[in-house]
Amino acid sequence: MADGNAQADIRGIDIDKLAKGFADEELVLKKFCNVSTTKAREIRWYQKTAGFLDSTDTTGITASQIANTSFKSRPVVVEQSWTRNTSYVRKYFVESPLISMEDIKDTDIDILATNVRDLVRAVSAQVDTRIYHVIVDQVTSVPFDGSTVTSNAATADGWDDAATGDPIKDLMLAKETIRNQRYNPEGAILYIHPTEHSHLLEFLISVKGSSIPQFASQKVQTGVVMEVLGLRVVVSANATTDYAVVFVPNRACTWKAFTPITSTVIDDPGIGKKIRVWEEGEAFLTDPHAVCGITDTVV
Amino acid sequence: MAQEATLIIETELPIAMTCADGTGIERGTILKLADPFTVSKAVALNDIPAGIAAGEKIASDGKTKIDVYRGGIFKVTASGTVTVGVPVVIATNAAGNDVQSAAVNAEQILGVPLETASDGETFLMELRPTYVNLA
Repeated sequence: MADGNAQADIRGIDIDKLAKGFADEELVLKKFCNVSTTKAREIRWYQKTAGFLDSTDTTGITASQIANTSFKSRPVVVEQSWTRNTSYVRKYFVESPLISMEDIKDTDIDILATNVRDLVRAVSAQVDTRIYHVIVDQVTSVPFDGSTVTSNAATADGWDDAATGDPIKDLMLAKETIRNQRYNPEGAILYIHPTEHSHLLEFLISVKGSSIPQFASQKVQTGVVMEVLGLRVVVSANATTDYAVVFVPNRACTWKAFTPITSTVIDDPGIGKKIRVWEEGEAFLTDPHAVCGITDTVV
Repeated sequence: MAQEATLIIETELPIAMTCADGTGIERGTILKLADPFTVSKAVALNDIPAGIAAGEKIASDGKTKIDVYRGGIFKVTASGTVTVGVPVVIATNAAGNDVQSAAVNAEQILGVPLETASDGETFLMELRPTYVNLA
């Protein structure tokens, strides 16, 4: 039936073609890694034994034989040791379904470009997750469940425990732990989930604000902690809540790139296109003592 | 659509099969087969499986062809328990686009589960429409 005024079928509509309803997470961990390339998928690397060299102890002699020795006598023999490690490159690989040339041509949103971008980000996100798992020594299910990285439980019931929680003490202990291993923790990264960031701010403003009024007032205005106790604060939803990690950037973790992130559009003439994205590499924790975890940060 | 069969690994491209012009079919719909070379949304236990809709058929758009996957790895929803390696068929409540474990001597196999799942859970299925005559 033909329509006249006051009937819906002849009205125009406005289509907003800009996709909404999403926010992108920054993927930052790779830039805190020591990045280099690898020529082969099997990577052999050597870990030097941490600490200062000293003479070998016996049950009865534990004092250094390097120090204050006698004149005209032979010196004590001391040598460095290394641990041989092997890591294997991992492949991160994804593709789109075949997108028909008609869909590419007439869809309101740019499905080809959007899929290229988001598939690249999907691969990058998995690489970011892998680097995070390596830094926090997550071997099976939760951070620090491996046996390589030192972690300390948060004071009392964690950072949201206004009465007895003490994130400052926890962070200082993490710095101390790293410093005790001879690494410089100044300028280290504090990588936390937004939940921990929120609790840290609440602690600094609401719990300790009266002790540090100028600092607390500034935080009320800015709403962010960019740096605390000499640590650079990095907040990411990719971090696991209930944990915080402090690590020395460009030192603790290495990313070995075998194939950098690559995307290609495969053309099937007359039918459509398929997008394929891949990256190959592996992260490994060369300096586990340059990392310290804090567990149970939330009640 | 609810419980859409989602493509996980595209092992082959879809093919064009005949469908009615007047009925819409959503992407990811489990399809049944009828004569000749015709598909429609599966509705009942042991419908002859045709595959999974790779694209959307708009009702009354003047077309009588729809792109259909006849193979590939899909995420589908279980009706009842399905067991890895035990074939599945179009389910009794196929209107919900789910699948169920095949009875002994079932002749219309939709695919093979690649993992075990309980009722209402999703699982990976290798789409492999298979027809046998056991009688």
